[in-house]
Amino acid sequence: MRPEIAGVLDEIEKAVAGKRPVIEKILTAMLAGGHVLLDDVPGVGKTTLAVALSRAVGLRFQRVQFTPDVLPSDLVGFSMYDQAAGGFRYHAGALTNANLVLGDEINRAASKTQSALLEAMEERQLTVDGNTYPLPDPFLVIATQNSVGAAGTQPLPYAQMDRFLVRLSLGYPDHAAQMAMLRARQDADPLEQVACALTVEGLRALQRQARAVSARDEVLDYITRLTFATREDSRVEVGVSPRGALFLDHMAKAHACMEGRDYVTGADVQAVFIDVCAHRVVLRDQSVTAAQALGDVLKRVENPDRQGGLKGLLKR
Amino acid sequence: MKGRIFRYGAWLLLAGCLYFFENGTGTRAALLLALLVPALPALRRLFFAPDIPGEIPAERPAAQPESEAGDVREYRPGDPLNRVHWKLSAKRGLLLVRPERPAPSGETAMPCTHPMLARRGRRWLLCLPLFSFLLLLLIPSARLGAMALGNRLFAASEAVNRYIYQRFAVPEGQSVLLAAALLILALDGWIAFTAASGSRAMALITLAACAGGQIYFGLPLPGAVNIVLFALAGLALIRRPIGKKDALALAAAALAAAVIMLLIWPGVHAPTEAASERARDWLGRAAGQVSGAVRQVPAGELEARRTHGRALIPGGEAGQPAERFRLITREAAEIARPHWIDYLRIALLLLAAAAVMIVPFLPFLWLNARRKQRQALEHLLSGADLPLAVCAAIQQTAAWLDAAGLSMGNAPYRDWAEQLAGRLPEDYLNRLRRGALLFEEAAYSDHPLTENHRQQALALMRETGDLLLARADRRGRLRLRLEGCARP
Repeated sequence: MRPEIAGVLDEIEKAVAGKRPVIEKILTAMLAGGHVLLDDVPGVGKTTLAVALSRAVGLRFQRVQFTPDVLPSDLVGFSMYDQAAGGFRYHAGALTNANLVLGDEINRAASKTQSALLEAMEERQLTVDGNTYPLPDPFLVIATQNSVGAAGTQPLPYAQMDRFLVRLSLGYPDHAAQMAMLRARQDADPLEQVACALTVEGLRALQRQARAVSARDEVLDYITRLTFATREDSRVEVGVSPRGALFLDHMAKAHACMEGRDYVTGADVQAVFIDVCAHRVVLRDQSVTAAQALGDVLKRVENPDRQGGLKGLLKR
Repeated sequence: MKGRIFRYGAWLLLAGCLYFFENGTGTRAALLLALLVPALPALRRLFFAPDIPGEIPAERPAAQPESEAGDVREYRPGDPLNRVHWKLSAKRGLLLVRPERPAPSGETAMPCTHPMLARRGRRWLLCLPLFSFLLLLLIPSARLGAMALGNRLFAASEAVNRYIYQRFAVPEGQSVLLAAALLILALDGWIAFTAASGSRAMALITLAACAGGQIYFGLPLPGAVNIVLFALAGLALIRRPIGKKDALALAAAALAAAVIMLLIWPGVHAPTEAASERARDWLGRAAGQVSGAVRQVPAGELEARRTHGRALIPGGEAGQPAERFRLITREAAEIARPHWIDYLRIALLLLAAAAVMIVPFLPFLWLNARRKQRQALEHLLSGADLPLAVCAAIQQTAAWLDAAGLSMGNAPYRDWAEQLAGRLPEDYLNRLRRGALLFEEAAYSDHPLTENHRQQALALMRETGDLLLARADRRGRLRLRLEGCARP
């Protein structure tokens, strides 16, 4: 792993212990320039993680607690008439000046508010009253949704879930991690100890390197075969879209970059496939989860390492 | 009670008919018996069907207001308190009770999908064949009739097979009707019992008896009938409920049996046989006519007729009409043409002949292919394309690990070392891990590789071969050798 990435992970782990694999995936998504959906129960450290991440990477952090009365203008801003100046003045919203936005309980927001956020995520700019305001670079949204207590919620529709690069879950800490958390919070706030391990400029450079990672035809063929396999699976009603295939490619490149390589392998694709694609498939058969169905697809579709094997090489 | 009356009545009817039969005027009685007794269960359902739940009238009609007259009466000491109509009593100011309803009829029928599936139905069905066989043995005329029936079957078999059977000694003109009626009854009951009970043993016994009877009498049923019989028995033998796959498998097996039977033993083709018989008869008659007529013609006249091209026999000028001759010729051609099954047989024989000619050479072809593959691999491993050489070495390593049963399926090579931890030496696994990373660099990147990388990959390959051969048993070593792994 790159030393700068390892440094960021170590800093974040001071505040959120025992969740290194999930933190790695969030960093990978950040390198890929995507957004993260955290699907989790309350109180597992989502906000703490986002704050620690923003401090470790030197990002401007903004938290939005979604409720049913949050308006789109609260996020994107609005124009108001200034009598003294004799014209309209733009008042920035929550998204305007933030590099890292934590949108808590996005499923409690009204549909139009969700759409306003998702539009900003996709276009990385805001358009208010005909005026366009670019969002900061990098711009990452970590949205959370709570599956417990669905009363009064507007679940994200499939088309909007597709805009998130990955859907992750922190889950409860294990015994040792919870003990460490309780000890660390006896007389201090661990968040205060998180130092900046990577600057914004360093993050931008890593993102450029991730985009420059090469992917051979064998890997692109593997991604294509995987997505086709999800569409042809009898248990899946709606398979992975072409956008999903593109995101899979970006995430695999970011994964390779995290490991210090400038080329993507089949192992990179396998490592990120379920996280990228599980929320993009709609199942027909409710007796299996999306992760199980995609796990079966991974076992079925031949890895490019093995494809053809020795006989394939000899034929070439 | 009704059921018992019915059953005993049926036995009495049977016994009475047989007594009637014994006195020698039993044709109609036997026929009546053979027709009625199998229908008795249906008649029973029709006339003596038990009360079915749901048909018992409800105690109170639904949603009808109670009328004051007739539905309630004044309370009398001793009436149960739970029959008091409190609402009406409060309205009228005196205690009123609902009158008692008669108890529903006692007989309750359990719903069954088929009355014959009930245990009592099955016992009734089993009694029928047992009783029939008993009567067949005990009643002298029935016994003799069965033997006469046997003699008739032997005669029919002799006509077909030319076997000479020892006949049973029975009086001349012995009637077979009683025996036939009892046998039909027994068979009816047996088949019904087998179907109703779902017993596989019964189905097997029925099949064995059917096959045994055909063999004993030498009178086989047509092939298609036998296939259908065995397929139906197969249905009884396979597990219940019968799934789609089971039914398809059975149909496929029956079809395969039919095709094999048609190929190996199609039997006598009746139309061809009949046409041959007709042609033979005509030719025989014609030959007889000609030889008979020719014998009557004086020898000198015969020669003269032959010389002048006239018919050999007087009146022979008319001869055979040409049309008749063409018909016979066409019939002969029809008989001589091979049937569709013969074309199939010819094709199969040709395939078999080709297989016999080719199969002995297959091992040589296989060995030659393996030799060429080995040469191609050697060429790759030592070629100028370093990434390809590295990939080939690692792929060969993976193939040997697969052959040794250490395959990790669809996992990438870089994960193999971790998953093989504990099964192979740790230092080897470290080299395997490095080899997998080298493979990835060779296969997925444009990085230039050096001769050192090739040697590293080849060393890993050889080390893997030696390690696996040393650990493998005899079968494992054979599998590895088939993959080209040999000791240096």
